[in-house]
Amino acid sequence: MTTLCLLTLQSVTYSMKAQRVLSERGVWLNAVKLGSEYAAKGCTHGIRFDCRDRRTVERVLRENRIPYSDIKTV
Amino acid sequence: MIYLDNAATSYPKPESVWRAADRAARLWGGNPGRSGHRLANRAAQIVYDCREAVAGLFEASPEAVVFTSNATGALNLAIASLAKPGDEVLISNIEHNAVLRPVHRLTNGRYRTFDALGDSNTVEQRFLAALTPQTALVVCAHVSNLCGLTLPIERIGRICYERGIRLIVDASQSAGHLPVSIAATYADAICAPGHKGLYGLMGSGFAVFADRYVENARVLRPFVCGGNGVNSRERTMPDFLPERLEAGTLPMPALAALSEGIREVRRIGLTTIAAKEEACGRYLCDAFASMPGVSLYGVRYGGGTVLFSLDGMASEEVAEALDRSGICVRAGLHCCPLGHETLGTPSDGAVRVSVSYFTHRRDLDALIDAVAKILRER
Repeated sequence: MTTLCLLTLQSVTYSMKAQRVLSERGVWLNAVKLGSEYAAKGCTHGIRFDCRDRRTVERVLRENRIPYSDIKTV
Repeated sequence: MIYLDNAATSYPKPESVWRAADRAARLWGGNPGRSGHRLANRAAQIVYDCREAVAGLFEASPEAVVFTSNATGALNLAIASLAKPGDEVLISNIEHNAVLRPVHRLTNGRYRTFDALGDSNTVEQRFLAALTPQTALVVCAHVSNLCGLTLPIERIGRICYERGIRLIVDASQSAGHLPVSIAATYADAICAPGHKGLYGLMGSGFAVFADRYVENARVLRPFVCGGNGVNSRERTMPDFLPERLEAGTLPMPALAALSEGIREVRRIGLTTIAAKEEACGRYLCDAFASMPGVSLYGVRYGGGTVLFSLDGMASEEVAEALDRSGICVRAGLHCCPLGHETLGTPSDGAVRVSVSYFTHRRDLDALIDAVAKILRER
């Protein structure tokens, strides 16, 4: 059974950028809007992906200077 | 109808631009970045696609692209966010009111100007001479909105960069006509409308910032404050781009159109566009120069924008007569009284003809014939 991971991004702009660069690397993901339970400052955006892609996701986000929060399993 | 007012807004747009706006508005009309449903997500993708398209054109990062309603909004935003109280500001003597008025307000009328008339070497020397040790900000056009006058913006940018002077470039008349980029100009920000040379719709514009502001957006003072779907509990704007400088709903269908317009510009190629417009301008100037009673202004600078007056006739009168012949041009001061003073036009301004890549030779012949008729019948 697939385990999904979730990370929080700064904004919808970074969510779209993450979606773009990760899709180009063949990573499946969902861009999602997140509420206060994930961001103390209020509304934000994130991506949900297969936890098996975690290392690839982290590397690609770092390479593209996309800040992200700690990754949680959902 | 013959449309020769492309410096005001380009018209008509390529068919693909209308279709992009129509499709975006009809099919994906959610508010980008606000909700989490599929319409909002698709709308957010369209906005991001446009950030990438603009960023690609100006060699910047997508997150450094801040959308506004027009170039005036972008220039006001850039000036407000980059200027500090008490800054000494230098502008050229051909600036549009979109630069002149916010700078006038910022400095209480105490700004400096440099003479932009002349070849690149002359203008560079004049620019250097106008700088003082206190100069903190330079705001200037890349290309005049009155004639083809093009400033040596890369040289100006290098000088500003070497001296730690912030530079904002008004690319309203060069975006989509000439190459201009953050890298080549060392600019802190480049501002442009989406609806002129980039063939987007009215209601779109942008300020592109240098990458160092993506790393450190906190130094930029927000110009407009409001909701943007991010950090909603906070009373202050986010400390990262582009959301630090964007508030309110973005014109998603207009940005879909802008993406398509940029695609068209890239398909045709800037070199091809510039050459066509230059040829049209030269054809027109050669014809007008041989007509007694026609005075030309700034003609030595080339380009696809031609400024002229007819002896003994008010500029608006000439424009009205041309309109009766089905020809659309703009008369008066073109929101650029400073430029008109510099070029020495009559007190009521002049008539401006501005072509696009899609202007035909027959359009120009019709204009020439119409002007000849006005001269005969005045």
